[in-house]
Amino acid sequence: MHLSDPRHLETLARKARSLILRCSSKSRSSHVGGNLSSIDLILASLAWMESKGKQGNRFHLSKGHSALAFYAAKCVLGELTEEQLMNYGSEGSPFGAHLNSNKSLGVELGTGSLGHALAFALGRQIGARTLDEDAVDIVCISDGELNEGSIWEAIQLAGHLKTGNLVVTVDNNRLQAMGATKKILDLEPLQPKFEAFGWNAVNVDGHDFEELILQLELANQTRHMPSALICNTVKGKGVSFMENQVSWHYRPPGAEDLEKALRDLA
Amino acid sequence: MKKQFFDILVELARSDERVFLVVGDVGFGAVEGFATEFPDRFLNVGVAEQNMATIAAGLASMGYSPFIYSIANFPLLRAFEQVRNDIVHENFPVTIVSIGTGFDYGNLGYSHHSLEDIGAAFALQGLQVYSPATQLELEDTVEHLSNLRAPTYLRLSKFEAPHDLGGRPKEDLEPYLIRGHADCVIGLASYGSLVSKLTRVAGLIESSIGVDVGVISLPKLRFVTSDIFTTFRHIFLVEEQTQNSGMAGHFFGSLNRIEHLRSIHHVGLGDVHRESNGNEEEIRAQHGFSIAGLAERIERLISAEL
Repeated sequence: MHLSDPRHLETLARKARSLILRCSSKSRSSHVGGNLSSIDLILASLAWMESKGKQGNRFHLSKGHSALAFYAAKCVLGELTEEQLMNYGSEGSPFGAHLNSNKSLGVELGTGSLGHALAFALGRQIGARTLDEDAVDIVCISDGELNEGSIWEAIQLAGHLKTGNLVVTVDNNRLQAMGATKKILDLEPLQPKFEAFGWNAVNVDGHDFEELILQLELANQTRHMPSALICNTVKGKGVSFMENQVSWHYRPPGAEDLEKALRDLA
Repeated sequence: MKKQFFDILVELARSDERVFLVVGDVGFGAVEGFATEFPDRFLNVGVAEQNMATIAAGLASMGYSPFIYSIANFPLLRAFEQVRNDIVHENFPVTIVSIGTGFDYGNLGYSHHSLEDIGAAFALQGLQVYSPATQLELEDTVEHLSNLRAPTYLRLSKFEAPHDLGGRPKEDLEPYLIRGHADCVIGLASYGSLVSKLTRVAGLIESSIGVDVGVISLPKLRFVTSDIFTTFRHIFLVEEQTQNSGMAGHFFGSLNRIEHLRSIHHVGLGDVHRESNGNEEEIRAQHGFSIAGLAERIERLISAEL
């Protein structure tokens, strides 16, 4: 089966969600809601890049608090064992609540503070252009992260430089740390904002693998400008009682929550 | 030192293809030589220092040795978290170049005065700090950096540096004596453009109190060896930084085991929030950093010790 086949990815995503829930519960860590909203687009990005087989391609998780989703995706793709992953958050483990740089997993930059990785990927693209390399950099940012001024510094310059191999995926789950993005700092509609800065921008169902893979492919073919995939997602996706609840930005699932959530996934 | 720096950087870029210059819309009349000769290794990112710092980290991850360039507080303080997380923590070989030290940009006001940058740079473990006082020190520093390939803060005076002040640092850029002799009772230590000034301050103190005064230059601020200080009795660290910030912590820590040393003093700035307009020398005089003002302050401190 082809690595980026949507049916195959759906199966992997279900497994990844279960891993996310189990790790969150075991390590008592927060951000489970955002991990569940972003897992599909992270998995799609990694699988798509792997299917292209280019050495220089890099995925950057700018919303570092979804590190667990990234590690779970790496696990279901076979780059980490389940045993390694289940050590998440424990003493001595290289896998913590925010992303650490990790060369063997292709992570060049640790994240956690928001608004950093897009400029980093842009720097790589500027370097790649000069070195005449054709690598793609995909950066996953959150919708709340778009509040950061540094993100817009990078968006402006990437548009100006027409950095065609730079792709942003926005995990647009419409909830940020203190509530609805619409109430806290309403940036909707996002698409024309990216377009105004010289980007190719599309709205995507962030839980539909067929659409995600198709749009990544189209973004890759758009070589005259950077691309933004505004992935409309649901915070807590897959677990009915976690969906669209800001409290699951913070709350680690307890034993009972976990049992209920895993039943819900199945 | 703008022109002096870019002449050296162009020279370096000719032999080292990893050198990449990124500027934050600063350097008019100074960067054009580099930009023309190496258009593929030059980028003006616009007025966006945070972006500049992280872009440099990205370039470094591709194998480059980027130099980022802006004035006064902008490349370090404005982009402090980017420098901390993206450059220093990941140990990327990015050199952060700031032009305009202390009150150099006198009449441009408080926003353009670098009075805490050394303290801020020292707060980041793993960030090397260099502030050359002369053309020779600058040449040696840039060469040293090209081999070091580590996160670095390079602080340059706005004003042209003298070719030398009667000496040249060793290859490792450790502290060295530029005036006086090892048996001087008093030693004045500093970095950057203050070193040249201190040679004149030393002369005033000598004629006023009749003891020999040495001057030590510190091109590498995170120096390792303190041998040069072992024969002095009283040492003064002079820096245009707020009192007890700057490099005082490192300096005092490095010298505190020297047996014969009777006192170490930090000569820094008092209330920097006092409104003080004027040109750079007028402002320096207001803060006790004119040549006469420094001599007077040091004499007052030493009279209690001798």
